[in-house]
Amino acid sequence: MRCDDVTRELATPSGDLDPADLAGHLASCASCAGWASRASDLDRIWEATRPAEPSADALDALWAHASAALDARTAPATLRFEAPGRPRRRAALAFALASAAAVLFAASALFRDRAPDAPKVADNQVASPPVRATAPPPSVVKVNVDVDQIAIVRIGEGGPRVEILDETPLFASSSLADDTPHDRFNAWESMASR
Amino acid sequence: MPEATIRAMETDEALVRLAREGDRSAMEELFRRHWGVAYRVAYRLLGHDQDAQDATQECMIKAMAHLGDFDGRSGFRTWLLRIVTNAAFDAGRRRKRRATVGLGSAEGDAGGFEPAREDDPARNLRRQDLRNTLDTALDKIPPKLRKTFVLFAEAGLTYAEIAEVQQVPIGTVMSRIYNARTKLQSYLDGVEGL
Repeated sequence: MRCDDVTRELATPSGDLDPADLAGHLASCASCAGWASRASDLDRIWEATRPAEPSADALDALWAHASAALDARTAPATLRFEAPGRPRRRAALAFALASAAAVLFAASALFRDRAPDAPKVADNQVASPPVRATAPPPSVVKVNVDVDQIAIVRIGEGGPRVEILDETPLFASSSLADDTPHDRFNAWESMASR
Repeated sequence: MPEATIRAMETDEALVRLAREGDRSAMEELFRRHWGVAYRVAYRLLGHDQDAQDATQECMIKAMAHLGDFDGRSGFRTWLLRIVTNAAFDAGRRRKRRATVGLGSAEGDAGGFEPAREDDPARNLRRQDLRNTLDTALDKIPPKLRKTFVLFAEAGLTYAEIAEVQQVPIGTVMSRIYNARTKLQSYLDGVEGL
């Protein structure tokens, strides 16, 4: 019987070793006997320092607190929209949308200015039917952004191009601070399941 | 037969099913049944009464609020202790373990449950010394070993249940327990038990 097998059996009993053989080895092996003695010391210290469980009264108080907290969780979450940071986010969203609208307006004005002028008509000439300038089709860009995002509209040769930025540094901290307990709970769960 | 007595006879699985259907007394029974073991595990991981109470209460409320996420693949206690160990560990990482020096717990931490088990102050002091020594030793071993050993020695989970909590093979669990025990024993060598 190997000493390693003996100490492993003592630490994590599996029943693989015959108890009589185990006792015989411990009686004849000072090293394993010392290990077993230290194991007993650890067990005694562990037991002696085991924290007490709450009394019935303490549990009553804990449950009352928990029950109230659970009730609060099931209440309509209207406060969510009043939480600190939300107005700032709404302002950011409004700013982003307003910026996008302004850029689009400027872009359409630019295209309108570049449209060919109608031909001039000499005083003595019969006016030909007016030539309607052919402006490029209106550029409509639909931008869907969330409260944590910023839309950047870039005007280039190929027309407007939209870029969505997620979690800009400006808002990253407030986003973290606003994590709901449910979010954090899900994070735990995903960590635990990894 | 009083409702509380009936509830106490129900299995965890039955209580979870009832609690999910909105039965608050079933939820209360689950809470009362498992608060103590959750607290003891949190205490062993955090080394501080008040921190352990806070972490436990927070975890219990979250677990009760998210019973719908419990898939029933493991037992309720296993699922709960997975939440508690992860939460306690996150809390420990954030705040580091506090040095529990002096007579804090011997005199009773604020809000702690520790009753005066002995009238003998010297014996209480001795217990507190042991607790500090064991906390220091636990702090020295790697986190994975500590979590595994605490789930085994304090919560009394089986190897298979710990493997479920930690998502590792049973052999790894047994190896971690052995290594944790060997290290703890060497750190505590020479310390006299009560």
